[in-house]
Amino acid sequence: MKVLEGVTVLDFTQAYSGPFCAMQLADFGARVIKIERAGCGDQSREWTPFRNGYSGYYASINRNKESLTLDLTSSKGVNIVKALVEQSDIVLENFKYGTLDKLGLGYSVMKTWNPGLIFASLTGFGQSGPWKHLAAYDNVVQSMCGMMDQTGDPQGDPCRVGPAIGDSFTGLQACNGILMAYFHKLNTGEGQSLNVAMLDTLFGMLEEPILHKTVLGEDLTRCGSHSHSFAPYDVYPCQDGLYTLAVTTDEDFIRCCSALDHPEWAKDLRFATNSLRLAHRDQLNSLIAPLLLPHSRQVLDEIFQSAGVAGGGVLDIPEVVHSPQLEARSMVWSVDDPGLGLHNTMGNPVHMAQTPPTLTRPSPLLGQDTRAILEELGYSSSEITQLQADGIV
Amino acid sequence: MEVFHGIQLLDLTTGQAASLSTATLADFGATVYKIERPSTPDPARSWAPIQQGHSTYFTYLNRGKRSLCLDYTSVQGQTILRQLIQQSDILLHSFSRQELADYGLDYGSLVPLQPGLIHASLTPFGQTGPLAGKPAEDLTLQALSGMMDRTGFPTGPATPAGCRIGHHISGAYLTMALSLALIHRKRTGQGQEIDLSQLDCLFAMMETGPWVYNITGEVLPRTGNTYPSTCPYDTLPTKDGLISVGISTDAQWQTFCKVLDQPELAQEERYLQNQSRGAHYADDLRPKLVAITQQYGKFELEKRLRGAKLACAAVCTISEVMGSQHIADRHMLVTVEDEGAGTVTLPGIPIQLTKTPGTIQSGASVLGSHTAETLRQLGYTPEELTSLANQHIIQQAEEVAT
Repeated sequence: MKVLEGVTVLDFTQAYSGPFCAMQLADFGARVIKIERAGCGDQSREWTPFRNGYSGYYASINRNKESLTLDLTSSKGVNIVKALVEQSDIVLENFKYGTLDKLGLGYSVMKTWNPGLIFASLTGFGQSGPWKHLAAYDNVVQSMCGMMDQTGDPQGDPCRVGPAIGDSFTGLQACNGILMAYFHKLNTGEGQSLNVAMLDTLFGMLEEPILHKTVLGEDLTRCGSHSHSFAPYDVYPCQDGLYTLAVTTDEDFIRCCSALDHPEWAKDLRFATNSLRLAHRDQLNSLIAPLLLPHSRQVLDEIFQSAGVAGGGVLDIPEVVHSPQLEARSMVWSVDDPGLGLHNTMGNPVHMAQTPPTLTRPSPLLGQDTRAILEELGYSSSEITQLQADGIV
Repeated sequence: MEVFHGIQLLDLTTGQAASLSTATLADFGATVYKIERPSTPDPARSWAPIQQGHSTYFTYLNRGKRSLCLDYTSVQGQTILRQLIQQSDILLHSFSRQELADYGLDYGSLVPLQPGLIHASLTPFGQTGPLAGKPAEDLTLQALSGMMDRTGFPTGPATPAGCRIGHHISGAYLTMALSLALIHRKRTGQGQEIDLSQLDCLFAMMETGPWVYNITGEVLPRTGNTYPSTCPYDTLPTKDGLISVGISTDAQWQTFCKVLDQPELAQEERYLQNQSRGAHYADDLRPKLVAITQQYGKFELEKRLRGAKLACAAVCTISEVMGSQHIADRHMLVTVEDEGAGTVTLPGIPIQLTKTPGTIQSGASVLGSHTAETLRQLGYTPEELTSLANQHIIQQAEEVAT
């Protein structure tokens, strides 16, 4: 049995954050009915990369879901939503603040249709606070929460974290909120609403500068490839690219010095403890860097990993995608998409022995399941044809 | 009632990633025992910033947990741990399979004691594959997952994120795994084994880099603060800092020009359409925009653009965001009393449930704070406690204090 078998999720989200959240639930067996705007659908259907005219972006985050197109501004559309809400456990939305309320589809209405409903909102700034109305792009949120100020070279401009973690990490945290609410519902029968904001989840990742501010009154800013807390913990040029070395304890440092054939550095009064190493970081790096430079990343892996020291080469995307480790972990899933055809994508990392994540179907074509879902709700074939003619579905 | 009320979790891990997850479970009501060995307490107990001789980073990672100091590598220590496992729901570790077997803690050995046990591990690479058992820190994982490759400017090097994203992302996935396992057990009575890899977790969040490569064969360059498909989507200098803007439609471009009193830019044909703006951006349009944005303060420009409903944000320092009304209204800073470090203000809980909210009620416990209480509940006498302490199998907080 799949963990979430029999659980129905009504997913009103589009773009990246919400669909990534709903995909986690779908991977574990929930039935996710994705409501898409009649006509155009999820905006990510227009996002690169494309193959055969279909978006690989959309295909990568909507597997295991069904697609129902619906005009939410029509009263007939609202009736269909009502019928679906009555049979669902979870509603997920990432509209701008207040949009569903205006459509008569807010939580206060939906809970009268289904008191046990779990209603999750995933937005840039949450359902409270002065910024709740603002539009959020990943760069806007990374700028506001302090993440961008903390990333990059101190001599250069602040830099965005490349992958849009403001969306994906917030999606994960929303998924966690939903699972908690569902566990609570299993125990008590009670539903509830919950909300997760991109600003909060990213701000919550910045404990290091936050604690330095609250505890010491210090203002930390970006420090490039260094760490504020550990040394040596840095990125070094090597023969075929860049190599990372990350030493966080004094025991690690002793092993690191032995691996570098300089055990005497571990006893050097400048380097004996982590705080001393931080204070003398430049001197330490000027000793370490030349030793790494002539070697390839692979040779350095042998030197450091076999000594029990955290080292690793900076990999490019083809190297990552073809990594033997990720392959051994079944992290590359092959999906036969109705639009794109066969393509590889990232799998689900939650390896559970009894209830593993599974691929049951590729991402749906726009409105692929509309007719079947409406038939399930009791609409006749002629009613469905009329709804289609009216542009409702 | 709290979400995880009545759920008992034994956490044998150290460091950051798994601790973040068990802190979340504690915030939502689980009883979490953090179990450390007397000879090797969690290194995070020494992480800066330090206050009153105690780590406030440790407070952040281990608030709301009980501290049991027990040498579970000894035979007597294992007996005590197995007694605790019999009354617990989740055992969490970061051992290799060999270490687990050495300590008698492998899933197969424990199931007879506690058939519904959820037995979970979070390690850098997981329990299988050629890198299983190898060490890695957050930086290593950012390098190996491609996160670093995708972060930075086109002309500069691959750049690590300025926070420990590997720990946060894998910690959140661990919370997901534990919640799913609790749901499955509630519905079926079955426990199970969970094997999470931090590298897997980061890879799952790589977004476009692998998608583009897998679908078109193209290897994307780093794009700094720009985004290839919309223009201008960038971070630009002002008089007193930077501002990020996101203009996603041609109509928004016209609004942008109007708000900034730039009729010539608005009419210039090569900037009329998104794709053409993108093609003429780096050496042509961008310098013109910089000349304009540098005439404003960052918050002044932010206010002006937001007035026209354009997506933008001043690049904030930590102090600026911490001082915002929004962070206060969202309760994203919480002050607690820590047993060792005293009063500490931490980041709050981003998962906001309305009926069963999480709460951070206390800080972390000093090492061994709950050792005596826990063993007494298991039926050990004061004499036995003294004997175990003398043999260094357990440690109690009082001893640490002296």
